[in-house]
Amino acid sequence: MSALLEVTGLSKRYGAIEALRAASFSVAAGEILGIIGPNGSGKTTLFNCILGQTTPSGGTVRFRGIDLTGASPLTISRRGVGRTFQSLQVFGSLSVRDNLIAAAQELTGSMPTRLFAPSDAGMGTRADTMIQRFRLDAVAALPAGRLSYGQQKLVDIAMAFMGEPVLVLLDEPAAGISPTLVEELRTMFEGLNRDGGATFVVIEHNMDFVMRLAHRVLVLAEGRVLVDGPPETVRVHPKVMEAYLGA
Amino acid sequence: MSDIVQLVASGCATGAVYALAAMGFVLLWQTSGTINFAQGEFVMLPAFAMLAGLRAGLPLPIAFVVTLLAAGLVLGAGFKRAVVDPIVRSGVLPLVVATLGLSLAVKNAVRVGYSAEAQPFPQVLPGGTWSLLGVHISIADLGTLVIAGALLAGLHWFITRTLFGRSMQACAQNPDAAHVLGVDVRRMILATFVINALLATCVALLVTPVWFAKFDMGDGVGLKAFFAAIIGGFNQMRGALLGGLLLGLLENLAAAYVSPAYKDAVALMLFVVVILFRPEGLLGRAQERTV
Amino acid sequence: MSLGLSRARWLALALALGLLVLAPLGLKRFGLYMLSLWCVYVIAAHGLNLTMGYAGQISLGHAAFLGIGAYASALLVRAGLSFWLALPLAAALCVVCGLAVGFPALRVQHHYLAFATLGFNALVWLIMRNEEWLTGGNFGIRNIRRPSLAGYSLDGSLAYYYACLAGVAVMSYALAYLLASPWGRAFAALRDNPIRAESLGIDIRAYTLAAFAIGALYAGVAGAFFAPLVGFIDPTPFNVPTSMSFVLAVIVGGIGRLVGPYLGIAVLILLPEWLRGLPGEGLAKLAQEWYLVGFGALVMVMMVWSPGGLLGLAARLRGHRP
Repeated sequence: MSALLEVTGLSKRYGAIEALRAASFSVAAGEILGIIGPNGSGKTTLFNCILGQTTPSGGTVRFRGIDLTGASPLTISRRGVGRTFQSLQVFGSLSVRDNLIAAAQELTGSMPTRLFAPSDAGMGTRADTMIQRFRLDAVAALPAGRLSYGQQKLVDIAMAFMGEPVLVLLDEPAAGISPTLVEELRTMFEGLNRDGGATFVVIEHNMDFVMRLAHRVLVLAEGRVLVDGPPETVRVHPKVMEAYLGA
Repeated sequence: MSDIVQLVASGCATGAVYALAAMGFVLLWQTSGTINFAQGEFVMLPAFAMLAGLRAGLPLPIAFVVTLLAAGLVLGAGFKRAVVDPIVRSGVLPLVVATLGLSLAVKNAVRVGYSAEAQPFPQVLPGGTWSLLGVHISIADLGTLVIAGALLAGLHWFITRTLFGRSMQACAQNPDAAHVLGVDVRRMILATFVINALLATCVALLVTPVWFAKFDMGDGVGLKAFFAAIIGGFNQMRGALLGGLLLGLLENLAAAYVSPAYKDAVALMLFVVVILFRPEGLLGRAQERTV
Repeated sequence: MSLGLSRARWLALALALGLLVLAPLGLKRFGLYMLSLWCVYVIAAHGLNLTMGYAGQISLGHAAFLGIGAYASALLVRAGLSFWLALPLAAALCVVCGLAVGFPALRVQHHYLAFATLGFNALVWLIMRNEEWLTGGNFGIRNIRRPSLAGYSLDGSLAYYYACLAGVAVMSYALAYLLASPWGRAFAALRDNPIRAESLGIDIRAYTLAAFAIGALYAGVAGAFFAPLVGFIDPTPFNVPTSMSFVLAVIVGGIGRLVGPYLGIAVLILLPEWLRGLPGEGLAKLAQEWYLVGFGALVMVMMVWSPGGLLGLAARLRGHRP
């Protein structure tokens, strides 16, 4: 079975700086892939290249066999790829429920039909289910900008799932939230992966979180893929120690 | 033949003035992201200041120098400290709106406080024409070209040859990197505001004798400055130069050979052509989308 | 479709509408004229508010669309069409012009639209002034008559005022409906976080263009009502300074808020008239002459302390963050 996502020889340079050097890996359907690496190793750049926020300097990105290298974020999201950003990106003035609906309303129908569609664009039930799943019931009607950091984080992540994506890329989902919430998040992700069959790629610094969640872990250092294997292997790999602690 | 040379000289003279105004505008936009919609009024105010100086009995050169100093202080440093600094924290849109408010307030203050009529201004350059080989060029046009050209050359030298100027360029291209390299970014930005005010004053000196001082004289200049900057390539200072010259030239030629009534539309036409076929401007560098 | 208004809001709305319907009791002809003008300008301001407050684009060409709406409808009526047919046609023309201006500008950079609209306004004004065969040049179009509706003439000040009031009510309702639809949500997303919006499949270019075109449509409708109100049109009011005043009025009222335009236009055109009626000739004259100076200065001060306009200020006083 061919991989869901295939990244081959992906490179990105900014002037003299090589943020990514011929990074290659693949993700199978239903897998949870964790990406770790020291700061500046190119993790977010990798995401930006895959998701169309930046055009790579070289290499290819194939999703479901289709070449999506350099495609626009719009095209990529419509093909079933969701993402979260490192810094919170919610729609501050919209209510939580509206945030979720906004995350999915453009993926069906067309712009003209949407003008005359009902207010919730048919996504109301899906949003309500997501609200329950992420335990946002109490704040569903509040403007997202007024929520606490942890709650906004949950909204952010829920939004990535609203489009019922086949592949979700999460950029440091566990950052800046309490350990209890981190644990809840891990359980939620495992559930979504199991029940919905969504494939995850997760960038994280929280080792415990990643090692317990991921089926496979990729280590990125200085723009290159250093190690690629199951968590237990990666955890004790000498090259990984070297990358983090410096040679 | 003689006509064309005359038109070209005249067009270049106007163009050089547009380039001066556009240059200041680009400097501000580049170094601090400030889009100053009151740029035209920055030309109008010095014009009236010089007028006031003349009325008070000062000879024109003195009035000019005094206005230069006042402009640098008020329209340069003052504008930055009082208007830009407090507002730029809230984003670009509030700042743009504030400059619109400034433009409205200042224009009407002059209209009501001074006069709504055009005020005559003494000639700075001698009249008459200069003839060479059957070609006649107005001395005023030549003079304007020489003066504006000298100013632009001087500015170019300053920006590319002096340490201060190169630091300013660094700030314009990448303020964070410049800061890391030890450049006092805030001082650089202040410098660009002051330079903009000085340039605008020079523009005032060059255009007011021809257009006369009127409360809304800034409208035309401002518009042309914006378009010249974009046509030339707003992320390059040489772009302002090229854009201004091209605009002045084409305007003059269009007015003579196509339609004088639509002279002012040339700027818009050029703008549309540029954004359709070369969005970064004639000399600009394509910018990458940033996350 | 429900507009999502609370019971209290509906009540306030009904009250405001009631006041506006009863206002003529205390007003003479000039007062009615000013109030009608307020209605017309509010329609235009609603359109600009959509463009600026939701798509986040500064349009410096709104007066041009007002002018196109005015000239187009006046000319069509003069050619024999009914006003009520000329109105939508003029509005449609504005939409086409808006798309023609917005489409190339938005391909480039987000704030290029501001410059494109500036140039567009200048060009349109030049055409109005130069093409005498069409627009009457500087002389303009005179003796524009007010329409009649179902046999009733709307010629009188009172009748036409109610027509303008009905116009602003209908257009306001249409806008509220638009904002309550999925388009409204897309507009808000576009304003709050265009990058996230794009990554969620929201076509920010298409929606920005739509907001701009709808803004132009509203100005066109306003223009169509404007011409019979004033009785004649010439290029004078449709220039860049007027566009700038509209921008400032929308900002002062409170950008991106549905109630903003009512306040902003009141400050722009009703307040100076009220000041003119103040006791003490010297003070009143001073206020009137220096009004625009004060208005400009007010905008600058507002940008420092209350970028959310008057409504932002009110929210701040009530204890919410603007």
